[in-house]
Amino acid sequence: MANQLIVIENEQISTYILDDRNQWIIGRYSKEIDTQILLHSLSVSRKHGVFHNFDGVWTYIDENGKNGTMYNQKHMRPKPGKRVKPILLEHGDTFVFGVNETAEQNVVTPVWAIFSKKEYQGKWKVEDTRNLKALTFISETERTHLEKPEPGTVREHKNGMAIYMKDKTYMIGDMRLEETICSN
Amino acid sequence: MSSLRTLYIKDEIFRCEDIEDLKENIFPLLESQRMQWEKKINEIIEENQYTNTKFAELCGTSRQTVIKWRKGSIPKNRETFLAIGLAANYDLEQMNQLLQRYGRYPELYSKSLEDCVCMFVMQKKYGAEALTKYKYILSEIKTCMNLENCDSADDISTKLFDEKLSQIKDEDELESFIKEHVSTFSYAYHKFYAYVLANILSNSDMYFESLNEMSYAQEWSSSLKQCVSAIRQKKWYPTRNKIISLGIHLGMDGEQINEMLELAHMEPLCAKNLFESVIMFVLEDASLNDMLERDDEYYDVSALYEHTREILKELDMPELDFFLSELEDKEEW
Repeated sequence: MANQLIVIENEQISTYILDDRNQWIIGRYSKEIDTQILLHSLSVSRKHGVFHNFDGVWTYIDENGKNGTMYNQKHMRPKPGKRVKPILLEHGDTFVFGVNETAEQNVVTPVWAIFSKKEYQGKWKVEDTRNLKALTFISETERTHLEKPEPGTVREHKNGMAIYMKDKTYMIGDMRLEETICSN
Repeated sequence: MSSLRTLYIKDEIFRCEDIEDLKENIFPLLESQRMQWEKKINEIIEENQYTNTKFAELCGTSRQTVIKWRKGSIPKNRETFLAIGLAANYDLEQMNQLLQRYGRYPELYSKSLEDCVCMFVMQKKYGAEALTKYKYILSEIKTCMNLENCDSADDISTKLFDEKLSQIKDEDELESFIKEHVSTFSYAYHKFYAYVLANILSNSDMYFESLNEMSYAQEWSSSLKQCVSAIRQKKWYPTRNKIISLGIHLGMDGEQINEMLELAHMEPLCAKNLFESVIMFVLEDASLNDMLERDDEYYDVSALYEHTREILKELDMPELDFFLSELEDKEEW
């Protein structure tokens, strides 16, 4: 078991083994801040948030910058006012960093991430899945069919994981794409 | 029906404009808990044919306290309910009912060291010796085991853990069982500890070298320092009132206090409990008055508990005295 953060930015996937340190600052490059999870998107704050380890329990503390964060598909709105509420992380929790709730459309692509406690064998495989309206993931023991999945959909089998991000799908361990149905 | 009534009371609390409103409209609705308790404690003592003195001795308390209980005064902590349940020779079901219905506390949780020993003592039916035995075994085990330095918790379900516990024959076997599962006990409140520490960190304007340094910088009360210090050492056994007190000290809102209670395996704040109804009113009032709002320049972590203290003082009710003592007067620092 290893606590990790899997980050997808600009179609690039990176894995951070969180257990290697007690604290990880996530954000854009800054001379003043020692950022461990370095992102490039302009919609991400310089110190966007901090992942913190308390005796094996991982937490995320958002810095409440002007650039928002989504946690498990919900905007992290500080309530009330600017009050900060830390999150205790569970396996499979997802984040979108740099997503503006008030803007009608986010001009800059935000960064997607997932917290995982499981470690899978091998390297990430990337498949081009643009224009697909349905996907089927298969592994030695399981088969999962998805109709019109939303970007950021995650499927886990016993020994593998797949992350669908519309144009690309990322897979690791015992997991592959079985068949594809192209849209018009 | 009971949960509907709780919801009704909760709504009514949030409608209260001020303390007078709370006194007039809410407190009369809560009288029944006191009456229920009065009936129950008298029933326990009479059925067992105990004198007040004998029952006080069995519960490890004074005769005056027992007399107060018999007049409806509700014990102030979960440990006292455990002592009463042991004195009454209760089984698991009866004990859980006593804790939940009359004390509004969580049922026994075998993965907590104290509850595990209590469950063992109840199974063995030690009779009049139950409380003494419980305290003795617990202190013996605590002296010879180290709950620290455990890498991770056992991956064992509470149901299976309960089953294993129910098969233990004697104290030696209990000691071995506890030693074998030391990490489970150590991790029973791990998430709770992490949540508290993360809340302290997240609401400070900068990261201090240590929590001690932060506690001095923010002028925490000595009770809060003690509590947080024990949490850091993973040695603090969460009790309901202390958790609520901690939340008030740390300027948390109702949602966060409920999250802490849940992580400590307890029910959320209960509107049908007199003191918790006051706390719910205080939190709602503080929230509406933006007291819990954090300012980037200066965050006054003490604002909420000073406000709570004022309201409790104003209510001047014996039932609330015990909690008032949890909130130190800033002038005494």
